[in-house]
Amino acid sequence: MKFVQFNSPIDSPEQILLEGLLITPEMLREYAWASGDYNPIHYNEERAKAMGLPGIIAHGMLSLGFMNRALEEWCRKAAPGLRLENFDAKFVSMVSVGDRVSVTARLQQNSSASLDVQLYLYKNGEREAVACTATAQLVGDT
Amino acid sequence: MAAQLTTLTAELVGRRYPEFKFFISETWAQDFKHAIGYSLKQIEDPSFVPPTFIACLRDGNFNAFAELGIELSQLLHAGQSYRFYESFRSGDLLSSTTEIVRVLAKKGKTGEMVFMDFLNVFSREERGGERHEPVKVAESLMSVVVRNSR
Repeated sequence: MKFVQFNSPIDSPEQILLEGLLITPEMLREYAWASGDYNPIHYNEERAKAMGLPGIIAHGMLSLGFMNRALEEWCRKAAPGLRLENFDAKFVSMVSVGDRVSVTARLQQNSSASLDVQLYLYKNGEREAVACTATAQLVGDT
Repeated sequence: MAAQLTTLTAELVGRRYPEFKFFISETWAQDFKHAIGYSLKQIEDPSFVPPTFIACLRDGNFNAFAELGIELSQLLHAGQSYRFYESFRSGDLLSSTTEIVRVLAKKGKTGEMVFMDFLNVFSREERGGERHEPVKVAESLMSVVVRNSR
């Protein structure tokens, strides 16, 4: 069976796709503007604390957006023509302003036309905040 | 008036909400790409739209929350699944439908909560100003936790 051919090796145990990105209030404002998600827990500290949260938390979909970008850039470099087909995320813990987030990827399976990847978004170098599985399908030439 | 959790029951499963339409302008797509950290020079094709842009098309969900009396601050995002069938890009006109597919009350460490899943189906109806038969481009399943307002 012919596997998806990569321009660069991606089969190491776990790769860091994004490292130490600082979450800022500006990021949350820009994401709220683009997405239309103005839940006050993403910009109003008093309201967030009133809801029992530690403070302002980032949109889960902002974290997923970072994971989407990291995966897409990785695929683009490794094997152009891969298109995201499935993306399943579980938000495990909250990401707050001031956290530094990193995204890692582990290749699970690589067939002739698709690959399965396990992605994690960690905060502050240790705690897993988002766990995600993704399948990318080859739609163009490799 | 925030939603009382006792009003969020399994009887809501199957409830559907009116369709919304979205035109993906290049500016909107650029704003989203910028928000998730793309630099413009990274994108060779300006009409490229990252798949999770579909998270911007949640008017159906916001409409459902409003109809159910759920305040946004009562919500936490627990999970998100996507199935992408066709690509979409700026210049496309998409439509979306929203349906409640799960309602489950639970008692957690912080008190009563209700888990709800919303299924959104997205179809492309127009590309580059040309209308065509609707083509399903994606489905999303959004899992939220609804908590009592404080």
